[in-house]
Amino acid sequence: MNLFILLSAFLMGVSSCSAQWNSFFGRGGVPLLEFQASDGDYFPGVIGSFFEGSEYYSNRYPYLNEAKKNIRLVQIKQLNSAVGAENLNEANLSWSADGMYLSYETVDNNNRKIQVKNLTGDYTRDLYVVSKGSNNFLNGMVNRYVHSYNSGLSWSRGSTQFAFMSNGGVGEYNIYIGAVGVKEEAVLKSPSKDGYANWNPQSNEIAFVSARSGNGDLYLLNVDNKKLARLTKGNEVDIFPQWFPDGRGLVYSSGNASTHNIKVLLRDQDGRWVKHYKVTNWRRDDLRPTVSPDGKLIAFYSSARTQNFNRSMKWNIHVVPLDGKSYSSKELNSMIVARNVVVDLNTGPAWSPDGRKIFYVKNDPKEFNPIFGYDLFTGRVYQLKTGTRMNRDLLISQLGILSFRAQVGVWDRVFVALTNQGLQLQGLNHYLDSRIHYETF
Amino acid sequence: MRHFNSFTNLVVLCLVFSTTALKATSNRKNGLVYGEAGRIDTFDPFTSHEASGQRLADLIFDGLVSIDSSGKYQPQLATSWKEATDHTSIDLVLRKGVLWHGGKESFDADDVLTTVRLIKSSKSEIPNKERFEVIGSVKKISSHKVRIQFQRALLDPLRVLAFKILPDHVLGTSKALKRESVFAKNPIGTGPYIFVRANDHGEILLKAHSRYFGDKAKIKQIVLKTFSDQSVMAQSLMFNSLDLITYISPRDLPEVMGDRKLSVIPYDALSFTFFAMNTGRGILRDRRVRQAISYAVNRKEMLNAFFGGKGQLISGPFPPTSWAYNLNVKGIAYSPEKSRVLFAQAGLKDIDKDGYLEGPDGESIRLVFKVPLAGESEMVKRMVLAFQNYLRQTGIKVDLQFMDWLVWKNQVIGKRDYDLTIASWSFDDASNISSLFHSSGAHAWGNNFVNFKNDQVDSLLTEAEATSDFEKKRAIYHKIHQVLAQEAPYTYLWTLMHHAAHSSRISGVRIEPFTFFKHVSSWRVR
Repeated sequence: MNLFILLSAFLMGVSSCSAQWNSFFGRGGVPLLEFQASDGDYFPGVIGSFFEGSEYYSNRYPYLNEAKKNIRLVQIKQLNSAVGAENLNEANLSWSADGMYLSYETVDNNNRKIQVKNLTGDYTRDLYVVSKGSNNFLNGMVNRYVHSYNSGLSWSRGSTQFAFMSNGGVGEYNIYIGAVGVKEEAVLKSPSKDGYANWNPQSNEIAFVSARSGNGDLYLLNVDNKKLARLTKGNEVDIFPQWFPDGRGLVYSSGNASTHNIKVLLRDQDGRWVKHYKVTNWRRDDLRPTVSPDGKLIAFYSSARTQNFNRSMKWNIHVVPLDGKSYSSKELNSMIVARNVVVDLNTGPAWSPDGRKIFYVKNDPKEFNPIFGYDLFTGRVYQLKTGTRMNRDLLISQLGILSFRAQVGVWDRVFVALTNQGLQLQGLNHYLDSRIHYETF
Repeated sequence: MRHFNSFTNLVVLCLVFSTTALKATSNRKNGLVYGEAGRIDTFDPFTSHEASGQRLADLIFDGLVSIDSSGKYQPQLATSWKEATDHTSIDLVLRKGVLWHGGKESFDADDVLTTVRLIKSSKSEIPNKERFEVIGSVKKISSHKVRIQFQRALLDPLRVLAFKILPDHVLGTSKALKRESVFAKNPIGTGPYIFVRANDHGEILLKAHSRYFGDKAKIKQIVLKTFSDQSVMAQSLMFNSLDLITYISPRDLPEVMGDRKLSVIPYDALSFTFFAMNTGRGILRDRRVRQAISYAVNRKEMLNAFFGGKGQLISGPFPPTSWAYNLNVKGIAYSPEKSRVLFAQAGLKDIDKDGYLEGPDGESIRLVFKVPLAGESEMVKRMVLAFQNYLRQTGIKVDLQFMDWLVWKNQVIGKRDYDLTIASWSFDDASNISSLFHSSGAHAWGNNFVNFKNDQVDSLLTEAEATSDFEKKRAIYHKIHQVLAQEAPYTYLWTLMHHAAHSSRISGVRIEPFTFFKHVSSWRVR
C-alpha cells in the first residue's frame, strides 16, 4: 500500500521572522561540519520523490550556505488517511532514527491503533494487539469489554525494531516489541501498567515507566537477555523518560500532582548507574523533557505562575544545559526560549537535527496555535506559515521533515513538511548517509 | 437558576500555605488520594470558581437539603420543612446534635442566619451569586427552626436551599465572604470530613469527622492532589499514585478505559453547550437565518471528533433526561442544502460571486463571533474553528474574536455587543429557563443575553411559573421546547457525559452528578 498524498500546497521560503529575547548562547556554539557537496543536491533521492518541491528549492538555493540559512519550509503535505479511517483523529507521531519510517496513532471510540509507514511508500502496517477470546472478562462483578489500546512507538537505533505500549485488548498495559515484517510480542508481562517505552539510541535497551513495584518508576529492559532492572524508587511518579543520544543517561520528569522536576540518571562507561541528580528543583510543573541531538541540552515545558486569580495556567519552554548542575529558580527563569506555548505531552518540544533550533506550537488563538521555530544561537524566532490550524505533536526527522497533526474540518490529520533543517543540509550529511546506507533502502 | 461554565477549569497559583509535606500522601493505608485538575485556591463552599472546589465543599460542609440522583430532595441539616400556601416562604426544622468540626459548637439557627446574610452580602466574592437573589430574608423562630422568606412565590423553594451552611461562631462578625480570608483557607464545616491542612503543592489533607451526624466515613483520611495537566493526572491514576480522579478528559478516556484495574464511572455533566445568536442584531433577527446557521453545523461530527461521541445531541435547552425535555422535538439535522435555501429565503445571495453571501441591499455580511478563553481552551478553539468552516461552506463569513473570559462576559452578557458566541449553561435543576428566554431578562447582565423576545414564549413561561400542576407544567415546557427549537436563538449542541475513575483499592464507590461525594461515607479502601 502506498502513502497517498492529498494536499500539495506549495509553501516556500522564510515565514515571518523576528528577534525575540536574547540569543540563548550568543553567537558561536558548536561549529557545524562543512558541507561537502557543491551542486545543490542536498536532498536525498527519497525526499526528492516524496517532496517534489525539494527540486525547486534546490534550484532556488543552489548554494548550501544560502539553503541552510534561517528556518525555511520547502513544501507541506497532508498524509492521506487510511481507508475507513477518514472519520478518526490521528495523533502521536514518531519517526524512526533514520527518518525513513513515520508512525502515528488513530483514535476512535473503541480502539487506538498505531500506523507505521515509510517514506518510500512501500511499507504500511497497523499495530493493534488483540488477544482472541479475551475481550470479555470478569472484573469484580462487572463484565467489561476492553478495547485494544496501542500507543507510544519508540524505534530502535537501527530503525528496524520498535517498542510500544499495548493493553493487548485485555486491559493490561505491557511493553511490546515488534520489527518491520515481524509480529509484535509482549516482552514483559505485569498486571501493573507499563508504558512510555524509550529505546536506547545506542544499544538494545528500553527504558520505561512501570507501576509494578511502586507508583510510576523507571525500569530498564535489556532486549537481548530480557533482564529487567529498576532504576528509580520513591513516592514520586517518574515519567516521560528519554535517553541521551549517546545512551549514557536518561532524563525524565519526576514529581507529584502539580509539581514535577527534571531529573537525570547517568551511568559510567561500564554501564553502571552512578549519578542521579535534579536539573530543576522548584515548585513548577516541568514536563516532557527532550534531549538535544548532541546531548548537551534539554528542553521541557514548565508551568508559569500567574498573578490574577482568574487567569489560567500558561506554559513556557525552557532549554537547560545538561552539565551535571542543578539550576536555581533565577537561572531557570533566564532560560526560557518560548512563552505561552501549547503543551504536547506526546512529543515534547521538538529539536532540529542539528540541535540548535526548538520547534513548538504557540498558544495563539488568533492564528489557531501556529508553529514556531527558535534558533538558540541567534535568538531569532521564525513562524512557519504552514497554513494549518490547531497544530500539535511536532517532530522533526533527521532528514529535516517536520511532522505534526492539525485540524482539518473537525478531524486531526497528519501533515509532513519538508524544511531546510535536515542533517544532510546542515552539513552533517556524512553521518546521515552512513545511517541510511546502513539500512536496506 | 443556572450559571456559566467557562469550559476549562480556572487555574490559580500564587497561594502560600504551609510548606509541610502531607505525610498522608506517602502513607495511603486506610486513606484515599484523589486528583483534581486545576488548583483549588479557596476552600469555602461559595467563593470557589471551580467545580473541584464544589466537590471539596461536599466533603467538608453540609447543606440544608441535598438532591439525589432522581432530583428528589433529601433532609440534611434540615430534617423537615413546610412551605407557605402562597409559596413565598418556607419553615425549616433544623437537625439537632450536629457538631461543627472541632467538636465544641453545635449547629443551630444562627448558622443559617449568618450563612444567608453572607451569601447575600454585596461584598461577598461569590461567582454567580445572583442565584441567591430570590432569597429575601431569614427569621429565627427558635434555636432549631427558621423561616426563609423569598422575594417571590416559588413552586420549588428547596431548589435554592441546597447551599452549604457556614458556622456562625466563626463568621458571625464577618461582613462578607472573601477569597483571601482566613476561613477560605481554613474551612470549618459540619460535613463528613475535617479540613486538616493544605500545602504549597496544592495538596489538601482531610480526616474523617468521627462525630459526624450521618454515617461515619469508613475511609479515615482523604488527600486531594491538584494537577496542572489532566493527562498527567490520568497517568498518575494508572501508575498507582492516585486512587481516584474526578474527571477524565476525552483525550485520556480511551486509555483509562483500557485499563482493567480501573473502574470508570460516567456521570452527567449537568450542562449543555450551544452557539448563541444575538437575536436583536442585523440578519440574526430573522428566524430563517438562525435556522440556516443551525442547519449548517454538523453537530454529530463535532461531538464525535472532539468528545469521542461521549454525549448526547439536544434539540432544546434541557438535558434529555429532564422531565421538561420534549422527545418529540427533533433537532436540526445537518443539512447545508437546507441552510442555503433558508439563507436565500431570507434574501441573502452571493451577488459578487466571491463565495460569500451578501444582504438584500448588496451589503457584505460578516458575523462577529466573540470567543471566551480561559487558558489554552483547546476545545473551544477547535469548536469555533469548525463552526467557522461550516458557515464558510454555506457562504457566511464569521469573524472570530478571542478574548479573556472576563472581557467576554462584559461584552456579551453586559453590553450585548456580539453576533455569535459559544457558551454552556450548567444545571442546578433541570427546568427553570425563564431567565434565559423570557423577554424580561433581555437586558444588560440578564441571562437572556441572546435578546430573545417572543410573546408566545413569554406567556408560556409565565403560565408555567404560575401553575402548581406538574403535568400541566410539563406540557407547557414541552411546548416551550418546541417553540425554542423552531426559533433557534441557540444552535443547541449537546450535553456531555463526564467520567470519573478509581482503582480497585476503593470499593463501594457511588457518585452523583449534583453532589459528587454524597455517598463517600460508604466508600471503603482495601
